[in-house]
Amino acid sequence: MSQGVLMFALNNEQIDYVELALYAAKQVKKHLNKPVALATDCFYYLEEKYPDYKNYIDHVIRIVNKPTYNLWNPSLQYDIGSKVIYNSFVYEKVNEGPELLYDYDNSMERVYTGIEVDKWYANLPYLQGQHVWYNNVLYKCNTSYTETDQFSMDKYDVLIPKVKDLSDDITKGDIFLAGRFLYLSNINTQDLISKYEIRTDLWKQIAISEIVFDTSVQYRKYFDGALSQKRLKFSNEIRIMSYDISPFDETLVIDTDYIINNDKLKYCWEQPHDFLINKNATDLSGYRYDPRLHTLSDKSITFYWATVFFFRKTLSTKVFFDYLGHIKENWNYYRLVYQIENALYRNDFAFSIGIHIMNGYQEGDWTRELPIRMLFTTDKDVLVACKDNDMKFLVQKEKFLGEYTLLKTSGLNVHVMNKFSLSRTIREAANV
Amino acid sequence: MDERLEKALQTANFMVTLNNQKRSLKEKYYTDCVYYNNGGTFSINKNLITFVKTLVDLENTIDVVLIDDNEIPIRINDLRVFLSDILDQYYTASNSYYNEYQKLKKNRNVEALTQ
Repeated sequence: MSQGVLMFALNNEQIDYVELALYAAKQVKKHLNKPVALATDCFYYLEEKYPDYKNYIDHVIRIVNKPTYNLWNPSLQYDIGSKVIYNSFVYEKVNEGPELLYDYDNSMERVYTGIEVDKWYANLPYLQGQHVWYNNVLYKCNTSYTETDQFSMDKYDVLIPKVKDLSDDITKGDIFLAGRFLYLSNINTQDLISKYEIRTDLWKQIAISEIVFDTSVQYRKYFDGALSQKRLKFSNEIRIMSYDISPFDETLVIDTDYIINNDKLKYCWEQPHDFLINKNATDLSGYRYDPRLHTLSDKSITFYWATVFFFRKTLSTKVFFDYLGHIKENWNYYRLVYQIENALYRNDFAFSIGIHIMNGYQEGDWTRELPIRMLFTTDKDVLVACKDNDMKFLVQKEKFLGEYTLLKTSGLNVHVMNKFSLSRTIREAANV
Repeated sequence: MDERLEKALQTANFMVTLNNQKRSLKEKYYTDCVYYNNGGTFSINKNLITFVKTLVDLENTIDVVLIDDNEIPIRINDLRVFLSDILDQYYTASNSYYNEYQKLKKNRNVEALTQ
């Protein structure tokens, strides 16, 4: 089972999410020691501005509006250096050779051409001379009769003792039944299965994959402390594609502004539940209370934080993520049903609705809590220092607009909503 | 500004910051007191320790079911090991909490509180 951490970085005019992602990835490496995948629409910016990104990012997923490369086509011939998309990954051709390894037209040969075979079924009439296949043996019926629910061995003579079914594991030299005819196999089933697989001896997978996704643009207010605010682009709905995008079987998805300072999240990969997410969170200010962070509205459902979540690729989680796509497409409908006041699409809301539905439209245990306490500071607080596992914040003062008090955390994972101050602090730390 | 008022405001600021730090330490303590076993999440507190100790004293120690923080029944293979682990973790977390708290109490200004 592959395990790792997935992050998304879609920059806007003023916030460099790629920079935040690199810092968050550094912390992941330090505390969780897992591979990191970054999905971004700024791939060339990442390569140009942060050339050493490969120290922290193991896999890049390019988010594009139109595919950059064509899908691999086994019927074409490619030159060395060609790049194609295969299973969402980018492959580069490094060796010459035919795309298909086997001549499939000559992979099997019809044998016993005069014989047509029927599979045995209970309670049917059989005729003398009929060829019947049962339990990997070909028989010839020696008397006409009607079968009971058991195979009547005494009514048959063995004709060919070993005849496999097409669905069996077939090796070279085996005789097998396909339809009503018998064939001799010239190759192994494994080779047949690989009929349309890319040849890994000719193609090298690049640690980049590509996903075509048309991000819709929304705008929202971003605060930088209590007195400064900006209205900027906000596109985060690609998170609902996490299941399809993630190169890992067991994925922890984190926001780029979620800073990991301890190893508690490691337990996600050890526990047996397939989907973990927090519904409870603590505001480090100690006095603020926002009821919308508990329920979506006064009479609506429980709020879940999509800031950090863990999932395994299972049928159930696939259904969940597919359903999130449906919620996104019909956001206005769901927003009204669940009485969400703000028209802005938010992953937190979509996840909360999805979880409610997965639980059968009631509170339930389809999800479990993450092995962490979700702590956060809002964008009205300011991060002023970040060193080792310590973070220092100016927390907005209660009832005194624009005044702050100091707060220092040590070894705590914190969701730092003020991205401007996080960015400044990362740069300052890098320049020291 | 009146000197008395200035001092009062300084003290108020100091007290708010002190409370911030106390809250931060408490969060760290809670985080350190979470114990994971067999897919279950257990907050180590007086209730858990007392209950587990009672079961151990009654010699019900093998394959015992406990209800975790998420109200999920979890089978604990050996309760003695479980008790020993939670006590270890409790001592470590509470000693760290105590030491940090003592350091905090000695500080008399905002800068020192957040050093």
